[in-house]
Amino acid sequence: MPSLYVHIPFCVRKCEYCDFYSEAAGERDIDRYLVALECEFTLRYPDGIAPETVFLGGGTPTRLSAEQLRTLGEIFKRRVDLSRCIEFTCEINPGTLTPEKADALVALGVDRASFGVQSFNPDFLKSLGRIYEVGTPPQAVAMARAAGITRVSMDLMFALPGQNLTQLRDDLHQALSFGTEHLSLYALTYEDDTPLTRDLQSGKVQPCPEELERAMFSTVGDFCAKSGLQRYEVSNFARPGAECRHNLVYWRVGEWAGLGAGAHSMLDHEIIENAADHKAYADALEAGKLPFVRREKLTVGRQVETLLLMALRLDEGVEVARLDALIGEKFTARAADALETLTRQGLIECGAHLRCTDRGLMVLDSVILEIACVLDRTTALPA
Amino acid sequence: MAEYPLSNIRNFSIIAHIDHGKSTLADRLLQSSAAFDQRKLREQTMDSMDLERERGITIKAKAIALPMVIRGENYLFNLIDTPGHVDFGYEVSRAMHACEGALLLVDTTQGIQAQTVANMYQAINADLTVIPLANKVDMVASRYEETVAEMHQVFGIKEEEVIKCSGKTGIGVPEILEAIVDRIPPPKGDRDNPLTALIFDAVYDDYRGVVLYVRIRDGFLEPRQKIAMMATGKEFEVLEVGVARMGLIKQPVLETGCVGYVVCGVKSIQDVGIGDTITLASSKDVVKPLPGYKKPQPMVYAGIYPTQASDFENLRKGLQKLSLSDSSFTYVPEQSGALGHGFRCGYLGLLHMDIVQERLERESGLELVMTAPNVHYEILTPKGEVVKIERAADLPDPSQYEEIREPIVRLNVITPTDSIGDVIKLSLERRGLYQNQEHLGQGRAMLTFKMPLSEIIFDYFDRLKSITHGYGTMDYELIGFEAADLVKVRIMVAAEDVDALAMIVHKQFAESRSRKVLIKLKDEIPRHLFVIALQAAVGGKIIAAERIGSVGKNVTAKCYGGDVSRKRKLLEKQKKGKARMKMIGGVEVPQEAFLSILQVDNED
Repeated sequence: MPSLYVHIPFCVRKCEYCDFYSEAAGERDIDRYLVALECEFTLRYPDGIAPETVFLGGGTPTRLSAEQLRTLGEIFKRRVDLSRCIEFTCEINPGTLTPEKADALVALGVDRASFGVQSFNPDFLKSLGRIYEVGTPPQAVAMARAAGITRVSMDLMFALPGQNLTQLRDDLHQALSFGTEHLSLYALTYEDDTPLTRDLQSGKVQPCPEELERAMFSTVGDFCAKSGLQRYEVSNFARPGAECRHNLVYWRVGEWAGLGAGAHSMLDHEIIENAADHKAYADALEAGKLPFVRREKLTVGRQVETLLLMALRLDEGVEVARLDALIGEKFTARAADALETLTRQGLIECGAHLRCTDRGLMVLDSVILEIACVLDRTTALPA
Repeated sequence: MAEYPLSNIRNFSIIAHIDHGKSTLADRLLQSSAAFDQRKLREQTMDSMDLERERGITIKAKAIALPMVIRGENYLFNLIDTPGHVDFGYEVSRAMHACEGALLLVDTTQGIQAQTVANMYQAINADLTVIPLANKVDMVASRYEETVAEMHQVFGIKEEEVIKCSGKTGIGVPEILEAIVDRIPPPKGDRDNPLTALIFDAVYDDYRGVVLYVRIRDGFLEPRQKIAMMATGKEFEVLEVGVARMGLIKQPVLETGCVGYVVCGVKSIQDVGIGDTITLASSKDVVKPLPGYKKPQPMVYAGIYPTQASDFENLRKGLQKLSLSDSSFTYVPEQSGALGHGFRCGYLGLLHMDIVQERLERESGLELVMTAPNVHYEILTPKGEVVKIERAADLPDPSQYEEIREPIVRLNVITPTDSIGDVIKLSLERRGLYQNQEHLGQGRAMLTFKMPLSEIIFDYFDRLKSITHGYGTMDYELIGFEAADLVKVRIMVAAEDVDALAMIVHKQFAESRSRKVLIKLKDEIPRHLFVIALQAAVGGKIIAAERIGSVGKNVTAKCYGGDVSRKRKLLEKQKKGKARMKMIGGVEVPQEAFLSILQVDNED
């Protein structure tokens, strides 16, 4: 059975750096959305779905009221068999959690909380457009734990405009002070058409110098390692055994069903994309139609690329035998040109697994591009 | 058209600086003709190629036959269009030799400009009767009095000769029509003499093959005549003659003094000499060719290479097809160590080069790499031979030649007087020799320099526009070749000699330009996974060096909730970008880098 992702596309307000689909909406929109979501479950999985991992993401799932979360819980009871589920994560914006909502999440089946903290520094919180105060995250973590959520992960951002290494260490230190077993540490990315990017373009915001960003990338690795968290993906760190099983499904390119507005699925080498707009999404389902806006069956070539794009992000890399099986010949022979150069440059290692070195991870996009271009140049992949 | 006696025919062209309103006035004249269907009249009828339309210039001359009724009498006006740009000076001169008169159009909001002067001199050389027109008098910014004063000062034109007009509103158009009848002499010629006809233009037509535009001097042209081209000696049979209007209109005969077209089975425009004389095959040994024929000489050369080596044949086909409709560019295969197989193309000038390259990319759909243009040089060998060098990489070691010569032009610049100092400074920096200065009134002056052509194609025009705040205009003509202290600068990327970036520069500029080229290359070449050394050398001596550091950090931080398409789209985009690059010594060099020699900002 595929893993399950459920998207809640609502936020209290949109953050300055975010280009992910979400929007401020009224309570009626949310109620309507939940009805549509159940329709999608019914249409796609009439006999129910029994995922091994579940991820409730957004937007802001905790933007829903306790009542609405309980409604979502009812939908899950009717549609999702959690008997085989080994991990159920919910993204939590610390500013939106209440004890009542925490209880509703536990009732829903959530056993892992991913807190979108981003920073503990009030200045950065403000510049990122986050809605809560400095004291909020500790309270939110306490609420989650009191309700019975045992596994705690936190998202932090670094390479923020004006941030220095001391401030970064301070954030890391605070993040780990809650018995946190997992950290997602993202370098701030300037996405197109976000307020932050406009400020960057107009010169209002100075980006983090590249040298400093590199130093920060190393710092987060070292800091986490000293605290017993290993980098197992470009931006993710965990105590041994505490890796996010759900996200590993993405990175290892397994199968997942994404439900809700804007969600993506990967099922039987096919990408399925749902309508991003929650109204269009609900309209489709109310008319008894699937909310799909795009389906793409991946060719072998694209499967290979997708696997490289995802799995090379992992410390474990990608199993060469899997690439061989996909392309029907020796991957290492086909990509020899790129592999030799990249190995010589100290960016990759290629044994039973193809994986990036620490230096390689830092320039991963370039590494993948080199390999992908060599694959394109050698004989065309079978369709 | 036989109903028009010679005395009722007028052949003329309009000469003007770019944007002085030539096409608008031409449209006005067309509208005055009874023969025109107004609905079909496109805004600028005489510019037929899209590209010309976009650039607002007329590249290829054409002739339009306009039946007119003036003061109750029937006349035939043949309006011969001329290209307005310096690159096409020879074509302009041929078109003028097909006329008896010219309308000199000056925009009164701008005054006389460099190409007004150049065109006027050509009209005088062609012995044309000139009707001066002061255009755009309806505009608030019009400075009629000053413009007339300038015309008087520069060309000796009397105020009473000048007709006030506005192509846009139609002011003055009736006066212009009468002046054409009254002032421009009718064509002379004798129908009973053996045929002589001047070829002043040729265009390629998908249905007819090459269509020649001709002016009949003596005799007449009609289908089934056997004719000969006097310069090439080739013989053809006339298939069709006619006149051009909204399209080509077949006629039974082209009479003495007339302007029209001939179709005679010419397959490629390369087989036609603009300026050549057509006569009857039977009389080619008895008549004298009309004067002034020249083979067009390329002034500027640049390499064109396909991004994908496998597109070489497609590129050849594209060039071949283009050459059917443009006789003035040349192309020969060449090989570059850095770029592989491509072609060396010769152009009349930079504008001509831009047009050809743009058409080629548009019409062939190929991804192309263009090298920076250069002029051609001559070297004198110890044995006294003169050898032409068309690209810097081909220049041998200095021990192999006695001297190297470069093309020199006479450059006319018209500038506001408050920029004279800057223009002189710029021109002297570019190795110009100051020759003359003439005040035009209206706070403007014309400056004349002798200058190496290579310095002009090295962004002189852009700099001129910048220091004169857009008001400066220029025109030049080749006056010969002169020896100079020139050296070849080699550019190396990752220790590999990039022949396509080699340049010939004056010794005094070798170091400063090399440094700027390297800095430009540093901007153009993306960082790689390794450090890239950039070097410039004269002979064995490194005269400038730069380095491009390796990629520092390049990794997408976040992978969005199961959305793998997003990352793949990014990869596709990067792959496309990479495909446009040329591999040199393991370094991917973008196409723009090959033009970097030219775009160097020369502030010193």
